[in-house]
Amino acid sequence: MALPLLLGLLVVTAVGVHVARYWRPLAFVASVAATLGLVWAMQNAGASTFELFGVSFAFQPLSRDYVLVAFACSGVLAIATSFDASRRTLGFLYWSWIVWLIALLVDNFVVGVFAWAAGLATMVLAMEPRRLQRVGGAAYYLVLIIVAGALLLLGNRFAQLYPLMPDQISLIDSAVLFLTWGLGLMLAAVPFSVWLGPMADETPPPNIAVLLGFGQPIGLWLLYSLIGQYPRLLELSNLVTILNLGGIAAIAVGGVLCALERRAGRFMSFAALYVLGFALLDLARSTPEGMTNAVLELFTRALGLTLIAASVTVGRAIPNRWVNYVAVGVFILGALTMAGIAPGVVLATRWNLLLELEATDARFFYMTVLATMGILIGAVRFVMLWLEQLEPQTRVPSEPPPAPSVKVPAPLLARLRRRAVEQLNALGNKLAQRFPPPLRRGAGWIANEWRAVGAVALLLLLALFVLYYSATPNFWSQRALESSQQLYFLR
Amino acid sequence: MPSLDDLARAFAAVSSFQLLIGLLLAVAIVMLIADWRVSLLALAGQYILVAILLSTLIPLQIAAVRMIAGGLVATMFYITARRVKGSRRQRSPSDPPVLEEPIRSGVFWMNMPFRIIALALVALSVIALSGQFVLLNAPTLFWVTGLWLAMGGLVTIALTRDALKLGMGLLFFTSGFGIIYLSIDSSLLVYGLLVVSDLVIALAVSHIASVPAQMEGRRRGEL
Repeated sequence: MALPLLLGLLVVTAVGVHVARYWRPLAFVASVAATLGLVWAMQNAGASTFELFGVSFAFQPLSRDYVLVAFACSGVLAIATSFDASRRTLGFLYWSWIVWLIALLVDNFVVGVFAWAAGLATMVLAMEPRRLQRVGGAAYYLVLIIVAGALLLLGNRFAQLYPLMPDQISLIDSAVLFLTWGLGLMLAAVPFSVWLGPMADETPPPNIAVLLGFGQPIGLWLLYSLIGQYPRLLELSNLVTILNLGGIAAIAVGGVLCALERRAGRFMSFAALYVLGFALLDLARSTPEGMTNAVLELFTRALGLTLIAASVTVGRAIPNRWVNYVAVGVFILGALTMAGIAPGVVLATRWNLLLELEATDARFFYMTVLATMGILIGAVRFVMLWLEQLEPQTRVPSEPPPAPSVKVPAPLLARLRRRAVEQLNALGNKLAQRFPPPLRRGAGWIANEWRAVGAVALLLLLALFVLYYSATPNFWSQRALESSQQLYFLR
Repeated sequence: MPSLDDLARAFAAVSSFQLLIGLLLAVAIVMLIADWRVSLLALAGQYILVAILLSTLIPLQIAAVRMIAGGLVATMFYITARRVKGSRRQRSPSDPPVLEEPIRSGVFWMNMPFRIIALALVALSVIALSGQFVLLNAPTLFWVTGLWLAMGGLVTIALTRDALKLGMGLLFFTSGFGIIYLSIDSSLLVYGLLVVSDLVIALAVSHIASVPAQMEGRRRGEL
């Protein structure tokens, strides 16, 4: 599929889902169709380059994998949101992707930064301020996007000027300063992470998952594409040290904040910060293996956030106890994935890094282990609170509908509709007589509880996929390594 | 109907000193005065002055695009402010209280004397910074006005608790940044993207200012 066509499909999907949100069954059907359609389109997306106004757009192997997983996870979150009574933010799981896709495809840093920032700003529209007309997490997040974008543009300008004046090393220092400052703000690296909590308070969990899990790492993609254009940025600066220090600080602060947190959104944000620390440490190794592990960490982070957001959304939308128990299970799997304890690919990458930390500086090793404990403590506290709130359901006997006092003749369309429904019911009963009673009862129960059944099926499928992803570490590592090595800017 | 030549003549009649004074006043008004109508006028005036300033760097037709964008932004803010602030005033005392009613408090966190001191400190910082350091040999006028607008915008953001006022501060910041960036790299791509970003910012701020607030009391340990 050609790139303009893919972008067009994305626009149509976003509009369709946004409009369909008003009626729950339609929102559900639109979300499922959008997920399947976009994943299919991504699998068939062409690798050819597309030119527009002198700027070229093309898929790199890694960006293709990234967008494929992103569309799948955004779709899962959209389906989970469609079960909820409030579906206002449904379309915003897709709107941002229109510009983020441009940021991933384009070979121009300036356009990439603008597209990335525009996607993040679009996500602000999905946020719900806590007080009318007053500034809060959403407003400050918008400020941060703009300020960080400006800093990134200045950093790029310094990097552009250096080849013209190669004797002025200060240009490289200034470029790295502005880039670190800008990216630190956008990625919420410590100490710029203060915006995470207020932002999470005003954002629904599925949007937090898309924003932090998939929106944020685009910044790292842009940074590395810039380093590919100006390799001196890495060679002549202390960027590696900055990445190392940023990684260590993110792990420590993320772990501590998670341990203290009982709110879903904030827990997700701080857990994301914690995993970002590992990705930064992996990137700081500046080796193909380090890059591969960083890629795997970022994928795992996105999957973990998706698991947590989907489980919390389903738990809030459907009050059935058994649904909530399944959701709690999926939440725990998500938390374990974020903590790096879920068996498989993430455990392998974390173990690799932990061994290296233990060999170089044991203090960092123990600090990382303690931070992991912080994630687990936060997850346990949240789960306990969740289970406490699951009170036994009391069945309210349904009252018979009041009989109409005066018989009013129904309109023709209503009578026709009633006749059609009666005919369909009669046909269904006739067909049902052919099946044994247990099967009939099961089908009837599913018909009554279709939301609960659908939500549980969605959560179980997602959990099974993550377990499959985690259980085949060699396959994913090989895939990530191959993809990383094919990136034009890393050659 | 005035032509582009008339516009060029009108722009040429404005001296650098007048521009500087105009931008100084625009920032001061947004930072000191709480009334949204006056602030909105200052924002619109700022867009015109910045377009005049930029017309010395880039062709007039392109510089005028910023003025048009400014007009759109001001219209968006005006409609939002009328809808949000106007509807609140029309409610009679006998009407039932609305859950999302904001706490009746001022637009700014700090009182007027503090804001005047903050404005003076910003001015002092701009004078000190522009005297000691110039970013990539940017022309002094652009460097000073850019710094003034960017720093004034950031301080406005820090001082206000009103979403619309924050949006105005943010747009002052982008104007300042645009002036600084265009003076070191007169790339039309960046200029165009900055104009678009102003519209996106205005859209997002209008949304934040007008969207119904969350229900209170669902915060701690919510599920």
